[in-house]
Order: sequence, then structure tokens, then C-alpha cells
Amino acid sequence: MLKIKNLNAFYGDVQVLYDINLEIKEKEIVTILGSNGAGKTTLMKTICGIETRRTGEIEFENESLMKVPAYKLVTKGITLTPEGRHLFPELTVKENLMLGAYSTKDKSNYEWILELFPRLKERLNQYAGTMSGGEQQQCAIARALMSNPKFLMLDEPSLGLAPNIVDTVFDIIKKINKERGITIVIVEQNANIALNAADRGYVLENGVIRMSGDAKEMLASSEIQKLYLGL
Amino acid sequence: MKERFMKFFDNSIGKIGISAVFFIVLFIFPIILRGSGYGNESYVEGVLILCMMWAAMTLSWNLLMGYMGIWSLAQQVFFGIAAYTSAMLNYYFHMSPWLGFIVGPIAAAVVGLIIAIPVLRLKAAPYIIIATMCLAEIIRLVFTNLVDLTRGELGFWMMDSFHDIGSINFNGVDKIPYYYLMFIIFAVIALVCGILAKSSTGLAMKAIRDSQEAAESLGVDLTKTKIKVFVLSAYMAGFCGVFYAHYMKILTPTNVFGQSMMTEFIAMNVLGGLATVRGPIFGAFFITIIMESLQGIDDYKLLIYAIILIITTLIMPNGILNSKAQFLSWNKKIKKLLHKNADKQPTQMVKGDA
Repeated sequence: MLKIKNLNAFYGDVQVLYDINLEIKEKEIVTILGSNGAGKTTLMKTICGIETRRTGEIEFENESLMKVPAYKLVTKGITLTPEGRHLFPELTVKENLMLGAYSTKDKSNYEWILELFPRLKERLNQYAGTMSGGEQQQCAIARALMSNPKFLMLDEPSLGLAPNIVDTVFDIIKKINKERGITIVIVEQNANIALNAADRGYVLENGVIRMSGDAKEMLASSEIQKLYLGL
Repeated sequence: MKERFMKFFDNSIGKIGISAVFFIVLFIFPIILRGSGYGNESYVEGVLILCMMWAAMTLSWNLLMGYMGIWSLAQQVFFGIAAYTSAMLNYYFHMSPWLGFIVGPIAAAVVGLIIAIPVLRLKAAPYIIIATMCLAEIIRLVFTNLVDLTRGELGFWMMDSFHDIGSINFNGVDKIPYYYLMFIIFAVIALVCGILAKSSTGLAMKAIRDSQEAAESLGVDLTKTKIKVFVLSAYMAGFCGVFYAHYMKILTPTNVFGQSMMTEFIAMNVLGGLATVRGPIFGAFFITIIMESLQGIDDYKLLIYAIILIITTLIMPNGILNSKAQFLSWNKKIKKLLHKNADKQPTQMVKGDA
């Protein structure tokens, strides 16, 4: 579905990503792991064409994304939930959701989403900024789903959440994948939970892909255990 | 009863009803005034014309600042450019001031576009403030120094009043024609702002204010939306400028391009409440009427003005009309306080009751 070939990314003159090669197939859950500063968020932003200069090739459904501006990606079926959620705190939950359907103008997902997130259904008229972290994360995912994506990118969905809420969020992610067949890319620091949810994984280190493979195998690999699972 | 009253204010039918009543009262006000036999009606009408003009200007700025969070401090430039364009075309080329309403706002919109382009590249508020303030100052200095064309600080005053339409006479003796002309401009601008705020563009504007990154990731075209709103805001301000030029009939660079006018818009908008339609209207009427009624005490009125601003920003930082939550919490506190006092003096209460 998404093919990345020899992707390099720069902030000004500083190179951040080096020769990234990735392939994500349809209906997969893929996780991209890495520590702070490895370039995970940069990779997400580079795929969307936000903020960075890039060379190489990004293909989505056999169509190059290199010249597509960020705001047009949503109409192609690609949606990003940025790191730190970036909800609109002074808008209500409902308005946040409606903004998700801003460019597709298709609100057919609304009922399904409310079913998926009963917490949000109770809080439709509450300002998004007044909710708890877990609810905000759910709202961010729900907002992304409103655009009816084929390809959903989640940047650190576990950031700042209590462990039991992280489980809820990942359960929902798996459910979205199963029920609607949406391809999902999860960028995570929490390797354990991400690999448990994913089909495949990539490990990013200092802007280079160090490892890739089946999620179950990676969970068992001694290197991963040492570096990211603290075992 | 009180609950129902509060709910009425909150739902949209209540809001539309209140604004309809406000505009109807404003519309029939001159008739009531004349019927009441009050001697100085043209003064009161003059004040209300100013109120409506500043309200319209503040509404136009509110689109940028309140809804979209763009710290542009150059709103007075759009006003001034439109005013000078119409006045100078009228004097040098004998263009009808009525045509000014077509040419002036377009000139303002073009300047809006020119200011929007550098602002688009800036994301942090301080840079936008510096860029827009500098642009405003540059334009003011140009108009001050183009003495041959604009007469500089001596003031440009040779333009006509609006030409008469049939028996409607715009000679300025009777303020009624000007009052209704301004009323139309004000009402249309308020209506456009109200509709825009409810539209999907309005939602996109608020999204840009809260998080540009998230807005972009949801498919909001930042560049297009910002340019659209900048041009629209300038275009609206242009109408006020053209009206001002042929109503006041004197333009000086300090008056129409100076920062003091911009400061007024900020004060009016913040006092009334940002990102609403009623906020700027309330703020403009409130400040203009208070300042006018304090004319008698000369310079001390600025002191009172400052005190009002400080108090409102301290206790109602979201603006007077956006402070319902604050009012409710005060109400609770007062009730608690009264309740405590009642507990302390039970015997007296009984005596009192008996």
C-alpha cells in the first residue's frame, strides 16, 4: 500500500533520516519503534510532507506522494494523528469530530465512531481541552477516523497515559483494524505494547532503520528485549 | 425560572432572538429619539454611528485574531487605505463617493493580500506582530510624506460628501441618512461574521487557531484559508474606511493609520470577548459610549478607561460576554457566604421571622 524508497529528510541543512526503505501492506498494523530523537516523528511528518525537506520516493497505491501538499493527503485516504494529540481544546468534542470530516465532507462514519468510543458519546458537548488524557487520545483517534481513512498513522498514542488506559487505546486500535480493515502505522516508544498489537515492526535508530521483521519474532529477539523491553 | 433563562441565552434560537431584538432597536432608535422630544438627537445619533463603525471594524479584526488566532496589528491600514483611495479618487478624478464603496474595499483587500503573504510564513505570534506593525508604520509614513498628494499631516479634506439620492440628503445637517447607511454596513458585516463562524470555514479557522499542525493533518489548506480570511477581513474594514472618509471629511495619517486606533480595536474586542460575534459589538458600544459620556472630565477619562480595562482583564480575562462560568461561580460563592452568615445567627433569624 505504502512504499518508501531511499527516503532522506532534512531540517534545514541537518539530515535527520538516511535512506529509509519501508513497505506497508494493506490491512496491516505496523509499528515503528525507537528511542527519543531516533526520527520517528520526523518520519511521520516527512511522509505527510510537513515541515521537512525530503528526497527519495514515497508511493501510496502506486502513486507518488512527493509533490502532494499535506492538506490533500486526507482526500487520498491518509490521516495522521500528530504526536501530543493536538486536539482543538476550545472546540467541543463534536466540533473536533466534525473537523475530521472537513475535507471529505463524508460523515457516514459518525455513528460507528460513537459506538466505538462510548466515552466520547457522553461528552459530545464538552470542550475537548477539559477531558482527561485518555479521553483526549480517544478523541484524536476518533477525529482521524471521521475522515474515513484507508491508512491511519498514529504518532505515540500512549504518550502521557496511565498503563490501563494505554491498554484501552490499543484495544480500540486493534478493533478499528479488524472491523474496517484500516491499515495502521503506530509510532511508539513503548515497544512491548506496540509489538503485541502489531503484525510487523521496524526499529529506527539515529535516522536509520536498524531492524525489521515479524512482531512476534521481534518480541522474542534478545536484542530488542535488551534495548527496548528492559528484560 | 432562572435555569430556563440561562438556557434561553445558550441555545441558538435565544441567541438569534436577542440579536434580532438588538438590531431592531438600533433600527428604530432614531424614530423613538425624535418622538421623545429630546433636544440633542443629532449628537446621540453621531455617537451611535461611531459605535456601529467601531463595532464593524472590531468584528472584521475579530475574524483574524479571535477566530483564527493571527496576531495581525494592521487592521487600521485597511481602513485608512480604503478611506484615502475613495477620497483621493473623488478629489482628483471626480469619482462619485458611492463608487468608493466598490473601489475602496477592493484596494483594502489588495493590501490585505500583500500583508498576508509575509504573515503566512510566520508561525509565532511575536513575529507576526512585528511584521504587521512595521507594515502599518511604513504605510503611515508613506502617506505622511506624500505631501503633494495627501497634504500629509495637514489632513486631506477636499472630498465630497456622499451625493444625494433623490430627496435623501447627505449634507450632514441631518444625521439620519448617515445613520442608516452605517447601520446597513454594520448589519451586513455582523451577519457575514455570524454565518462564517457557523460554516465549515469558521470551524477550520478555529482549528488553525488551536493547532495549525492538526488542522493541516485533517486536510485544512492553511495557506488558502488564511489568505481568504485576510482578504475578507480587509474588505470589510474597507467599507468602514470609505464611510469614514465621506462622513468625517478629514483624513490625517495619524488618525487613520496610527496605532492608537488599533489599540482601541484590541481593547473593544478583548473586553467584549474574542471569537464571538456579540463580543466585539458589545465591546465597541460599551467603550465608545463610556468614553463619550466621560467627555466632561477631559483627560481624566483616560484614567477611567484604563481602570475599566485593568479590572475587566483581571476578573474577566475572557471578556465580559464570555464569563458566564465566572458569574456562576461568583453566584455560588455569594450564596455560600450568605448561607454561612445565616448559620451563624440562627436566633436572630428566628426572631426576625416571628
